[in-house]
Amino acid sequence: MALSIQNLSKTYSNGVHALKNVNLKIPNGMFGLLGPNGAGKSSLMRTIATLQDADQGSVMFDSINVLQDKEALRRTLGYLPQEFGVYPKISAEELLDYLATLKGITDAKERKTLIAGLLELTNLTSSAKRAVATYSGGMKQRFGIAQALIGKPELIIVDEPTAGLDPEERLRFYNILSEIGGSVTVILSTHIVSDVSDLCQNFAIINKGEVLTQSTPSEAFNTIKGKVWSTLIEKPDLPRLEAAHKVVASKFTMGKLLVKVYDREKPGGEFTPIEPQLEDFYFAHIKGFIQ
Amino acid sequence: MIQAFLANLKFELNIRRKSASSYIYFLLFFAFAALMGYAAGGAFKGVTISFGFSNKVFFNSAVALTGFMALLSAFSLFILAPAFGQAVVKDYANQFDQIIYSSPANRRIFLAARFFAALVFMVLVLSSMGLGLWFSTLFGFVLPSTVKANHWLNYAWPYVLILIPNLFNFGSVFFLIATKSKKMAPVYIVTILLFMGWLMSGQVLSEVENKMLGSLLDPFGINASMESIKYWSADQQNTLRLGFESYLLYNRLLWGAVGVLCFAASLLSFEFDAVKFKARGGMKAGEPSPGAVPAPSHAVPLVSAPVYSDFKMFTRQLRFEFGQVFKSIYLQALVLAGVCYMFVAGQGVGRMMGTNTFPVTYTILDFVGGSFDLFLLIIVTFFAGEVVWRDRDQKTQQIIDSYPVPNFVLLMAKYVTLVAVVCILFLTVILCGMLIQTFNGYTNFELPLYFKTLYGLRLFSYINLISLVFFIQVLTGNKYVSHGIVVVYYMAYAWLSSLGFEHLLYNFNSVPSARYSDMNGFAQFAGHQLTFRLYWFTLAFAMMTAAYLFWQRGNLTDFKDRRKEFRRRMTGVTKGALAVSLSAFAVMGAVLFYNTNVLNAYVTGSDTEKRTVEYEKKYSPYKYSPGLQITAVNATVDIFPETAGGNFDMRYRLTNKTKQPVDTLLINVPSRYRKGLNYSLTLDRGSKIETDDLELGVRIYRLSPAVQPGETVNARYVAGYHPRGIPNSASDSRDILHNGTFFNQNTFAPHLGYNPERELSQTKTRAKYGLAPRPRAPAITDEKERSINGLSREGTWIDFEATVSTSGDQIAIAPGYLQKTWQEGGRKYFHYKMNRPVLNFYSFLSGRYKVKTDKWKDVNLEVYFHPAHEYNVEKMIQASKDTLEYFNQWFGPYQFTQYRIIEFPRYASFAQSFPNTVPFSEAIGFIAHVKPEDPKDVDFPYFVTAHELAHQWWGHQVIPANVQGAALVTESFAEYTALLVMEKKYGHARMKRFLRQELEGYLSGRQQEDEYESPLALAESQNYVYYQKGSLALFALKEYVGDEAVNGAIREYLQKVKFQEAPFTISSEFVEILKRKVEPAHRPLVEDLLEKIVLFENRPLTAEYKKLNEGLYEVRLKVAAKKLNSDKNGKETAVPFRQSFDVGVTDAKGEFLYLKKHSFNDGENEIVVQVAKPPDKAGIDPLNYILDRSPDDNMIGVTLVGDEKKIL
Repeated sequence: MALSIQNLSKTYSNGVHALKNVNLKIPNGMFGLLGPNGAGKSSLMRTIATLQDADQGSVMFDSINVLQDKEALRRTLGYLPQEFGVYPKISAEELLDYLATLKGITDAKERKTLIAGLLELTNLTSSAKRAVATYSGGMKQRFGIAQALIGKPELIIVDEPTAGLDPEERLRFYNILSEIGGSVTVILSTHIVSDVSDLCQNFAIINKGEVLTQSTPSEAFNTIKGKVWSTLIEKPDLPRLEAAHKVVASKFTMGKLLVKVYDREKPGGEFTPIEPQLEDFYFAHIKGFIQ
Repeated sequence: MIQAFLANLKFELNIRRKSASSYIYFLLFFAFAALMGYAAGGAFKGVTISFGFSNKVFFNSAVALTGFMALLSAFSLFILAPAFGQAVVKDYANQFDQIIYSSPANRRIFLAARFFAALVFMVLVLSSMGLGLWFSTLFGFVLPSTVKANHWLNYAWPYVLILIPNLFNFGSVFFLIATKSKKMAPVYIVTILLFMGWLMSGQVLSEVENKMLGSLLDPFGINASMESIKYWSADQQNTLRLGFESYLLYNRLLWGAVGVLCFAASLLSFEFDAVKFKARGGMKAGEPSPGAVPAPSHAVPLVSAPVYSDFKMFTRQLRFEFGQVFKSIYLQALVLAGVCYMFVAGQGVGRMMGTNTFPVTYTILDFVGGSFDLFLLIIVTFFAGEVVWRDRDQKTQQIIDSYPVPNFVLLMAKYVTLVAVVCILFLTVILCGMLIQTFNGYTNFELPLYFKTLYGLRLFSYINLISLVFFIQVLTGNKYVSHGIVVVYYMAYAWLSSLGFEHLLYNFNSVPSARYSDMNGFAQFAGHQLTFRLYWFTLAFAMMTAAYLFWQRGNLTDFKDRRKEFRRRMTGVTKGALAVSLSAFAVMGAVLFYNTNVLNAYVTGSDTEKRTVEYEKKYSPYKYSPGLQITAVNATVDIFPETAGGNFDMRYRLTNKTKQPVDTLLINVPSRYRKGLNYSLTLDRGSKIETDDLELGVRIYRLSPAVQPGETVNARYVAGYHPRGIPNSASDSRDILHNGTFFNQNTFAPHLGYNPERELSQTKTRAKYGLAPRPRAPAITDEKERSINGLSREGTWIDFEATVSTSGDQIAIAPGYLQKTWQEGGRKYFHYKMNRPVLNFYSFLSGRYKVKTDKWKDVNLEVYFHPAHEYNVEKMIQASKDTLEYFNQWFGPYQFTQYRIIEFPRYASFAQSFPNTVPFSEAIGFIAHVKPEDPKDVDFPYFVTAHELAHQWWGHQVIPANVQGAALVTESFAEYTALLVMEKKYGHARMKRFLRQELEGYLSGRQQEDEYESPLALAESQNYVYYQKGSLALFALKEYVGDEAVNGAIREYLQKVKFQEAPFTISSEFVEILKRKVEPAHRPLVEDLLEKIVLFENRPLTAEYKKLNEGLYEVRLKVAAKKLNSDKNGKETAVPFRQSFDVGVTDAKGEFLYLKKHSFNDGENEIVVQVAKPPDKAGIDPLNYILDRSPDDNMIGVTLVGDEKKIL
């Protein structure tokens, strides 16, 4: 099972060019879609999830033409939108029961087993009777993944699932994702680089509607290995440094600024080579240091 | 502090200033007000809307402006609620509350600023109403007769009196609720409750006893204002400003207090619970923690492959939507409000003259159709928005829309949900209806009728309506815009026909009426209605298909995307559905058009108006040209109830009663617009048809040789009436019915001579066509009209004979005595003949009646009634006997040996007196539920029977000329003499209720007068004068001069004029006899009552008593008395006087301890009387027969001298 996106473009009527000729091949397993806020991640996700049309291009999931045969894709899709609400005064169990019917689980007994299993998986069994509207952010997100998993989807799309979650909830969420990531295609959109390095076999970086690169974490690591250097400076020196070097990141440590710079060769000055991180790869792309 | 307040105020107002909606609201109310002005000012052709004011009241008078603006401002509640509610709730809704309320600003000042910003905003928005009304008076679009010179104070006054207080009061209520609940929902619910208060107050006010309660109940002060000016004449309405009169004063005080209290409460209680912390997230006590970080290692549970069943998805979605709707607090509140309203208002269902009728199922259903329908419309409109946009509003759209559930399943589930809601609410209606019936001791529930009406007919209307609302919602994509469009549709639906667009075929979902009658059932009308509904359903189906095509799935909001998606959904199936439904719509439309416009005549009101004008212009020269009079009629009428048709063979003898030869004969014949009626007319004299005007239905014959004085001509009219198809208006096919046919002499047969009754009457409308104003009645001095009787221009006394046939199971009736009855070919024949000349005024009836017979001396009494309506038949017989008895004793013999009452269906609600024959509508009297022991009940079946029988004297013996005052000797006499019969049966003291009702009718009738008020002796077509004032004046006169004098005068007058030939009697002949009969001292009183317009304003000021000894109490009463002479426009002048009035003292049970006349002067009077028991109330004119402009304060409580508590 693989998703292939070709020449996908979309311009909104307000002139925003959300997707520019996007090409992606997404194999089985966990795929990270990395990009800053407003990069077009959600537009792309929604287009794949049949909620939105593209101006041109195609999206194929195996033999399913996603943009034409929406219903066929929906039958094999699990989608967790970036933001979603729930109906008031309905318990998780009840809501899942309703949703499961819409996903074709028409046998009541089966539905019951399924829901019990999903609640267990997402660790919501003890809160099953509570109204979803009263859930905390993390619980709601787990509920969201539970509904996405109804009906054995082969394509699962999760859009910024960990935004706003505390580290513990985030970990819990990843645990669930990792359970299911084996035989199906999971697309995880995020702006947090560690999400990708922790979970994904493949990933792509997208910015301003364009795919900058598609890679694997280890490949990315190899690309950038030996090309990241660091130095410790005073804060006022930063503009000067930025003018002279390709600064990928900077952070305060002990009152001074630790600046990371991308360069094929060791730059002049007090730079030391450091072990690169995926984050450096990401920023080097976003900032256009790597074309 | 003030600075902080002002800064906040400015900030808030700035937000409103930048919002487009502010300007839209302003323009909306401006436009509405201007339209209202144009409508009231007659700027629209053919439409004049008076909004309850008489034509004589200028719409820019202070009183009318107050009425208009108060009414219009009620609709501003839908802006008002959010304006004040959101002022508080917006911070919570936008989750800005914690920031706002953590700022150091004084919260009360902050809140007060928000409140006043909303208030100022609303005042500014509503200022558009005054401006709009003012605008409509400019540029000369309105008729000059409807406006006077503008005065700014007249426009400002409603704001001071009603609008600004309302804004403050309602605003405070909403503000309090919003600060307490921090939600909008309760605010909206209270909005509905306020509306309910208004509706209920209107209901409560329909009883004369409840004026104060009704006025207080109305939060808007609209009904209280109207109640306060109820007795104002046109002149007063035009010149005075509504002040704080008692009803309005108490209303304003009560609701003002509510407003101030709520405002204070919201400020005072606010500080302590300002910030709202939602109990969200976290664990509840007792719930285990989510577990350690590594999650349990479960794989996704396995299930067998999904089965995509549209049906199962549909039922689940339906169940879900249904649950959501029924869980909604809005629905619960609306239904609760509707049910409360039904119970409060339902108690008065079908009441007449303050007396209950049996709550038969159709009256309940009528009531429900009128009022609960409003709640249903609100529910349907509102919840269509809710269900269509539920997922978008709840932000679950992205999840649901990514599911494999087809669009049509979602759409249909939502649609069916609303239909199901209506179905269930109908059940509620049935339940409430049955409860109301049970509470009133009525248990013949007629469930099939409930179901047929609601599920058979009404549901279909909602099915179509919901389609339209869905279509609009989906197409616009905006819930609130759609609500607006739907409301505009409702208004158009209600108003189109009054704007001259009367055809059913272009007013969505309009159908011919299918009024149910116990006698005639739904007859053919249910089928007609359903056919039209089906026609609209085909369009509704196309709309639902379009709704499917445009259904918004996912984020397809771009026009571009929607178009793409639209093309994708345009499959063979949807194309087919559209093609089939639209072509069915076109075909049905064509077929129905053939029915309404070819098989039947479609004639609009303005077409009729124009033809009427042409008729008058062309043929009025014939008005007084010498003509023939009908002197004998021999009618053969075959009624076919099954096919609603008939055959008519009418033979007339026409006599030249003038003193000159007659060579011209004008006959009004059926025009070409009378479809289904074919006729031939022949004369037994040489004649030439000079004019045959098919358009106006006029035929003029030139006779040769001319008919000499005293000579006769025989005319024969043969016609067949065979209606076909469905007419646009159901009332066009109500002449011959399956059961309960009733039509009169001119329904199918021609009218002899020029008929001035066809002329337009309204001065305003006449002016439009360049016609001079037409007096409502010819002057009493008009010599030409003296020779024309007021009931028929065609002739006066005729020999009458009729053979009427009908189907085998019915009885056919015409005036006369039954000579012979026989059966032939499965049909029944009846031959009736009069043994003396009768008035040229007759009718034909046929139905499946049960007959009750009785006898009074040699007079046969017969009541023909619907078998289920036996309730009051005995009473009618008794009333007939009592009336015959009384009339024989006081006035003279009955001219017939038979008196018949015949019930007819409730398509009309009147009774009418033909010679020895009285058709009597099932809507009045037959289902009355009079409790004889209840002093508040008026026995109106008894009264109406007496009134109609009285007409056999006053109308069939005394026949006045067709001039002013004719109604005095017909209607006033009938009303007064029937009252005497009632008084004899029920006693003097029980007359109060009836007299009070009559006084109410008179006082509010003169307020509504469109031209001028006439004195009783010159009454024109003003029923408040000849009915209500007539009975009051003659009754009062009787109280002053005694019944021998009044009845003696009537008797003498009767003897003098009965069975007269032309010239006919006029009212002054009676007044002359009356003046002669009464003592000279009472002559001024006769003049006051009959020849002038005189009113009083009498009220007791104080009433005290002291105990003289056991069994003797002294009551001291102070009374202010005022006599007012009114001119015809209601301009009043106080005059000095001396006159006696009843002084009454009652005990706690309301029984009279004292009732005698005392003399009064204008100004303050003191009366001292002694009674035998402790008095409770005392006052002046307790029976209310004096024409008193303030009739409700005649009796006041009596206090013991020195008893301070009671005075308070």
